[in-house]
Formats: sequence, structure tokens, C-alpha cells
Amino acid sequence: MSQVAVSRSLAALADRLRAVVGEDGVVASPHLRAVYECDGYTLERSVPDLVVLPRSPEAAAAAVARITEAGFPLVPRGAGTGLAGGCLAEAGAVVVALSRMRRVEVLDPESRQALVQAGVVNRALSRAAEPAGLAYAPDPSSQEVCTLGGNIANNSGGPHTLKEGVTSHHVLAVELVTPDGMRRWLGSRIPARGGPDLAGLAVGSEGTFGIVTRAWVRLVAPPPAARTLLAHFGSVAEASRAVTDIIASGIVPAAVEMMDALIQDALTRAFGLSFPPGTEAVLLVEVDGLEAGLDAEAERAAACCRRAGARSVRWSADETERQQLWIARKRAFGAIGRLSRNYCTQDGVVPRTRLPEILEFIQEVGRRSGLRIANVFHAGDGNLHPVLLYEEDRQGEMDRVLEASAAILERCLDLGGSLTGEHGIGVEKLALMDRAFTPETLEVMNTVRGVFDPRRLANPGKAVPAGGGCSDPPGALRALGRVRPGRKAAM
Amino acid sequence: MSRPAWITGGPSPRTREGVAAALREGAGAPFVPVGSGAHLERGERPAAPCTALGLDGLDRVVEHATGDLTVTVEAGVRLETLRELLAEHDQWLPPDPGGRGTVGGWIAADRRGVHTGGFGSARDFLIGVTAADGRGRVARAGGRVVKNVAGYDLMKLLTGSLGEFGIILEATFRVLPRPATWAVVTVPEGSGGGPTARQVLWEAPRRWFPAGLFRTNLRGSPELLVFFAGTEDRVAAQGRAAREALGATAQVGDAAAAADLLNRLRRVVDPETGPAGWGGALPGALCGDAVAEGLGSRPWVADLLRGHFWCAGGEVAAPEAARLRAALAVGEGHLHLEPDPDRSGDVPVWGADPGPEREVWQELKRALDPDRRLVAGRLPGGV
Repeated sequence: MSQVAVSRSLAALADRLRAVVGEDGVVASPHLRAVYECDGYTLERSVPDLVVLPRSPEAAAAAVARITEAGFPLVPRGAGTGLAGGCLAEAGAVVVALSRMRRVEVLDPESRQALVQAGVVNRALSRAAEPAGLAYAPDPSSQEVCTLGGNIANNSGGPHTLKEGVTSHHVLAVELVTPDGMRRWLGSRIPARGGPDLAGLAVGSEGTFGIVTRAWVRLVAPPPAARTLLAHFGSVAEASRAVTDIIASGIVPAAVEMMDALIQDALTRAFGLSFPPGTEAVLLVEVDGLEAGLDAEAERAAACCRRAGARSVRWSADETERQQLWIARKRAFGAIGRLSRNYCTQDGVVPRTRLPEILEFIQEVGRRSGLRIANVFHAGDGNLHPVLLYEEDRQGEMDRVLEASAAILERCLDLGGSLTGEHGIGVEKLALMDRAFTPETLEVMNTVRGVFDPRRLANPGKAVPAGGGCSDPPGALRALGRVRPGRKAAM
Repeated sequence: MSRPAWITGGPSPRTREGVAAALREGAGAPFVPVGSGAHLERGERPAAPCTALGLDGLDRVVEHATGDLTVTVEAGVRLETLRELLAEHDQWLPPDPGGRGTVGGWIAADRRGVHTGGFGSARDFLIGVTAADGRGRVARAGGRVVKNVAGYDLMKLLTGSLGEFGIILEATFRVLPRPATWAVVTVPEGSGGGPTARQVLWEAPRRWFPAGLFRTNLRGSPELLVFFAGTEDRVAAQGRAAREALGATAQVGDAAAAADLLNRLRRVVDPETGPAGWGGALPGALCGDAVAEGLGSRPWVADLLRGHFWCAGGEVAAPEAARLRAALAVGEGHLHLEPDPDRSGDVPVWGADPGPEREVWQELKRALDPDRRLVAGRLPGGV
């Protein structure tokens, strides 16, 4: 298709979409579309040719049908807080932004379930459930803005998923709009219906089966009491040993988070927190539940830290301080802005007992590549988040970030771990999937995808690389000769 | 255990590659994977007679990473072997439904156990799987770490698929340290000013965080059982708080009492000793009179945390099934039957219609098993 033909076809599509979602539901002007050029993974950017913002599941399905009828790929987007480029509008796809679909349609306090639209903000659901004494458990750091649709696409986690489980543990059923515009429920709010668990299969599929427009999710009662322990260690190895001991002791902590020296520096600058000199690792351990017995359990966790060599262990003095500690932890990524203008947050997993090895390796990568790498992560489940600091303007630095990231993730695999614990593959890690899975496995995964999206129009170029006779993306816009930005590692 | 008449004996490969090769070659297909044979009567009678593809040769424990709290086993490993292995390290796999069976059969049948309400089912603990599809392609999804979102979650696709999309060859689970102790609070339903099931359903999960919440008639009239698990201090505190709130008829039982009651529940849930029927409904619906009346004098167990239920007491005949299905419809519930393997087939086994999901299952079947090398027709909707 020539550029002129594509432009005409886009203009016609925009008109057809306006008929479905209204005049203000289509973003066509270039400077407004630029808002959608990337998500939290900023190393790559690409302005979509069109953005559509449906207000209902019905409108979303109608929009999807029109987009694919016109031969364009679609890219679902929630709040754009993803960290792997999962909603990058590669090859000029049409972005379907679900942020206007933010109704909690049903709140069933007796069954402790809710029916939500995809654009409901994670934290907003917990607020809506609060009067019934309930909350939505998965709590990504971006929970004040990220949407449940995005959480479902990425099977998101968060600090408190150690005890409560990740998104897939809390999603009972999803309403999926496949690229042909068909809307159907997968899974059920009723358990043991028989047959495979397709809702579970759809969770974490990164929009490559279509768009999840609604979901039935489980709600839980938030624990009435919690204790948060802050332990300072002279080495990462000691802190890691404490983590293993706590988990093995039978305590089921609500969260176990680790922060290294560089993160402490950022937190000091951003929030005025202070840490004892020589602290190489800080552990944040939370236990929760009924008030009774909580101190004894917290003391057992503290004893594990002391045995592992903690220099100091102290409890949050009161609820205010506890909340501050968590705000600091959840805003740690933002605080990194005090250290560097640009940074890339990585997401890898190792078996918990291999934490010392991987952290040592990350330090070595930092030295070798001349990059500063900070670590703030979910130690309890071995889920690392090395943050690679760089300056965009500095020649060659972005390439070094990509190389260092790949080296860290490959080492995660060598240690028996995974490329991603909660951020997803997106575009960022696509090239590493061959390293993580056999060709036969990827072929089977592509077969499964083909059932939902035979033309590969749903979020092309994400999650699972094409192969075995499939090609990606479908090409109308690639024919214009657009070059994918920046992605050396994936080429 | 006798095999249903639709199955004839077949090969028992010793290796994963052997299973994949049998599927690629296809001689004798369609195949049904057979471990201990504990779940062969689950589901509808297949569309065509099948050859057993024995998995008892795949019985190796691949890795028990005790410090990481994960275990990887081949599909033919018996649940009791796994249970003993974990117990040696004071660990357990909460969704283990009890009884005999193999790991692969348990996952494929998605059998729910008594700890599903408090801890989750197989799908919540299965973190990695190796399986061969109908084309003999071996896929390895997930991994050996407790948090992992790389690639599609084929574990979920295979859970409950009754061997129709692929044969499970190896599974990795996350496991937990065993709770230091258990306790149980029992309360007769509604008697002497005691609480109703609905009141307990509302309060228990919000106030005491139970590890199990059941309504059952196993000891005669309906009663509520609230289980607690964890450290001594916390279990004692939870038990005390629950007893005080539930009134004078509530009694606290120690770890031995809890174990005894859990074993009674397991006997209803275990396919070797029960159940005649099983299913799910909204928990609130399981609190109502309709369920108790519909099940009559049969022994029954309802998990009020997630909405599962089971009943024992011999085959459920058509009129009784219809009555109970109607009663459950109020809570969007469904009753599945687990009758004798060579039953007459006059009552539909599955109580839930997969609806529009059915065509996705059919497409998956066509894509993953185009030459029908795997069993077909056991799933709801005849898929």
C-alpha cells in the first residue's frame, strides 16, 4: 500500500471509529497522539497513527472490529505504566486506550467478588470495596494509576503478592474481545465449572489474544494489623540469607523487599530517610494478620535477620511510620530521578537461594559497563528489579544499557530463573524469548495464539516472537519503510 | 481400579521423548494418558475408544529445591510419594486433594481438595509444566521460580483439560512450609441462637482469616467448621476470637480434632471413597436451605470460601440430579456427576454449559491435536 493510500484508509477508519465512540473518542491530531508514543519503557518510542478511547465494552468490541476490518493492527493500552513496551504502537498500529472504561459494575461483598471494566484503576477498586471491608490484593507500585486491564495483560504483581499471589490468582473470568470483534467470557465466577482454565491462560498474554474489556475478580479482607521491620545489613549476601531463613521458618510474610545502597541514596535525597553508614542492603519485612500473635511472629522474623548478621533491626514505630516506609518503597523508582535523568527498570527472577549470586553478577555488570545499577526488589519471591541509570544524550549509553540488561536477564535464566516476574515481555525482551524457551515451545505458544488471533493483529510484536510460519507484524505499515526505533538488542 | 470399557491397554513409555514419539507416530491413536487410573471416569464418555498411554514409567522426582520451596516431578509420580517427600522437609502442597492418583492425573482432572478454599487449587501452585501436544511437540512453559510471566501460561490450559490438548509430562509446584499447628471451631448451624451459615460466611473471612470454612452434615445435622492454620500463638488467638463471636454452642478443637475432621471431609472429596457429585456455586447459595434439602440425607461438604461442594452416597439418579441442579441454579451453581465408569449415560455428567467458550475449546483442540491423536469428547459440551 502506498503512503497516500494508507493515509486515506486511516482517515476513513477514523470516521468509522467516530461513529462508534463519538467525536471525542478518537485522537487523530499528531501532537495529541504523541502522548501515546511509549509506556514506562522509554527506550523506544513510536507515535500511533490513531488512538481510540471507547467508553464501554460494546464500543470497544465495535472499534476492534472496525480496526481489523480495515487491516490495521491494534494495541490495547491501560494507563501506560508498563515497563516493557507492551503497549508500544509498533508499525503504526491503532491504540485502543481503555482508560475511559472505569466502572466497577458489580460489587458482591458476600461472595467477595467484583465485576470491573478494564480501565478501573487498581487502587480505585480497593477504595470501592473498602466500605464492605474488602480490598483487591495485587498492589503494583503504580497502583494509584495503573489499570486492572493492564494488570491482567501483564499478570502484574507487587510487593504484597508474596503472600496474596499475583493477578492470575485473583482473576476468575475475563471478557475477551478477539480481533474479529467477537466478545466472549472466558472462565467463570463460579468455581469448578469443568474444562481448561482459559481465563488463566488469557491473564498475562499481553494483549496478544485480543482485548480484555471486563473481568470478575476476587476481593480479600485486608489484614487488620501489620508490623513492618527494617533491617540493615553490611552485605547483600547476609540480607539474602535472612530472606531464605524467614521463608523457610514457616512465617508467611506479607512482603519481603530489599533495597541496595544506591537506592538508599535516592531515598535519602527524595524523602530525607537516613540509613546507618555502611549499610549495603536494607530489608523491609512485613507480617500481618490479627493483632494477637503478631508481635511474636514479627520477633521470629527479626531473629532470622539477626542470625543472618543484621547490624540493626527495628520496627516501624507506629502506623504513620509504617505507611511512610511503604510510600518510600513504592516511590523508590521515582526517587531514582534524583540520581539520574534517565533509567531503565529491569525485571528478572531467580530462585530465592540464588539471590546473592545474581546480585554479585549485577554489580560486576555495572563495573564492566560503566553504568550505575540500583536494586530495589521483591526479595521474598526472587523477583529482581535492577535499575540501570543512564543519560539519554550521552553517546552509546543506551546501547550499553540494552547490553547490560540482556546480560543480567541471561544470567537469571542460567540460574534457573525467568526473564520477567511481573512486567511482561513486551517488545523489550522479545529477542530473549528464544533463549528462554525451545523452538518447539514457542511454536506451541504461537499455535495457541493463532486460535484467538489467526491474523496476528492483536498487539503484534509482543510477548511471544513469531516463528514456525507466522510473521509479525502484518505489514501494511511496515511497507512504508518505517524503522523500529532503538531496539538493538531485539534486532 | 477397574478401567472403563472404552480404554484398551497400550504402551508405557519410560521417557518424555517416548510419549512424544508415540503421539507423532500415532499408531493406536487416540490415546488417553493413564497414571493410576484414578480419574478416568471423570467427564463424558469419549467420542471414540482409546488406547491407554501409560505414564507410570514417568515416575522420577526431578528436583526438590527445599530452600526455594519448589518441587519438580514427572507426571506419573504418585501423590502419596510427593506428599511423603515434602513431609520429610516439613513442607506440603496444600491443593493436594489427598488419596492416591498421580500428579499428572490430578492436574488434568483439576481435582479440588479440602484445602482449595483456604489455599487455592492446582492451578494456583503449578508454576511450570512440560507437556506433549497431539502433534507430539514438547512444550515447556513457566519454570521453577514462583513468579514468572514469560510466555503463555500453558499450565492453565492443561489444568482441567482431561488430556485433550496435551499430555502432561512433568510439573513444577511451589510448596509451603507446613503450618506449625491447626485448630478447628465447630458450631451447629442456627441452633440455640447460634449463627446461620450466612452470618459465618460474612464474618469469618473478614475477621479471622480461616484456612478453611465448611458447611457439612457429616456428623448429622448441618454444622459449620472453621479451620485455622499457622503458628501456635496466632491459631490460638484466631480460635478464641471465633469461638467468642460464634456463641455458646461453638467449640474449639485442637490440632488432632482438626486433623480428624479434615480426614472426614477428605473421604467425601476423594474419588476412591466418594464423591457421587461435585461442583461449584456462589458461596452464598451454598448457605441456603435449598442445597441442604436438595442433597437430602446424602453426606455433603460445602467449601464456603470459594464455593465448591461435594456429595457422597452412591450414584445420583436422574430425578435427584435434576432437583439439585435446579436448586443450585439460584447461585449460578452446577452439579457434576461422577458415576460408575460404565454407566448407562442417561444423565448428563457435566452440570455447566461452557457457553461461547466451547468454540474456543474446539479450536484449541483442532490446532493442538489436528489428527485426533488424543482423547476427545470428555469435556463439558462434548468437546
